[in-house]
Amino acid sequence: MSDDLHLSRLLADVVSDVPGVTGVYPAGSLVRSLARELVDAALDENAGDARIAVTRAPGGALSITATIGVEAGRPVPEVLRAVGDAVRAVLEAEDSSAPPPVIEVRASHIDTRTIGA
Amino acid sequence: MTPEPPGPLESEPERLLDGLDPEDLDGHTIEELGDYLDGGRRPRNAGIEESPGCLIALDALARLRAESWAMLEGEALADRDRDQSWIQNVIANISRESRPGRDIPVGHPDPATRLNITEGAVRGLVRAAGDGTGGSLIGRVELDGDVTVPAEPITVHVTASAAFGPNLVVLAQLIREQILHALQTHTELNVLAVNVAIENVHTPGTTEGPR
Repeated sequence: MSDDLHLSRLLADVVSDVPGVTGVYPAGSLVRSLARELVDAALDENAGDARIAVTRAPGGALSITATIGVEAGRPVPEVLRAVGDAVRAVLEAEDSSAPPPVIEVRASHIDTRTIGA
Repeated sequence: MTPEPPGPLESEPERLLDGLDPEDLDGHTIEELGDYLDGGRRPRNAGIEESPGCLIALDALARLRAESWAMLEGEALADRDRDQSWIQNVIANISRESRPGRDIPVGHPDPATRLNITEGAVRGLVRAAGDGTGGSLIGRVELDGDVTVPAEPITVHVTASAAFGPNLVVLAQLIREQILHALQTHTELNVLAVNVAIENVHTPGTTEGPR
């Protein structure tokens, strides 16, 4: 298993545990996700469950993309910031000497089932 | 006289619709989502449950069935054609508005941390807030303005249908307040106005159209 795949899974677990997060979704459309999973699967047969996109620039700087669902019981900006901070904390703990990573977190679903209930 | 056979209004609302672009829902159709809802979302379909667009549409379809269907039942026999057309429009809008759309930024002190909410998620939020007032159903949601630029003023336009009875001015104000509260809680959008147009009033035998 590659280091980046390991990191992706670690980050997915961390993000899932942030209060207010209802799900961590494959980034991009389902078609792109399936294509990515197929490529990943060629490298690691267990790669299909990777959720967080981890890419590296030529200089080694990491770029992390997470797509999440958020429950409407908490303000979405607050949850997004908590996720961003949690991801950065993991990366700094893993390698504090690495170039600063770019972290992108996108809320693509707000679970509204509690609204008006 | 032979009774008319049951019309589509007596089955599920999404049966009225076909031909939507499956790309709107990550390759799924609104009819598939209706069937999935019928089955209590079991067995779990990962392709649907891991698609934010499908989840937004499922939320809206569930409300359409649970809260609003009763509002239309009394009118169904009297004005079936108009209701079918109206519901088709609502379901088409649910499907179209569930697409991710534009990224709406949320601020973070660290410029290397970029936070966004998709336009589809925000439209779903607006729809839920409007539907949640009770006695009305949101038809269409539009975010007018450049939502990708922080602090840029935007205007929200929604259409709604209402059950006969409540004062429409009061109802429109309630819808406006609920939507504004939801947007202020969950986004950093600079909302200049929320415009609510009640396009239909549902009552047995009514023939009123958009106004």
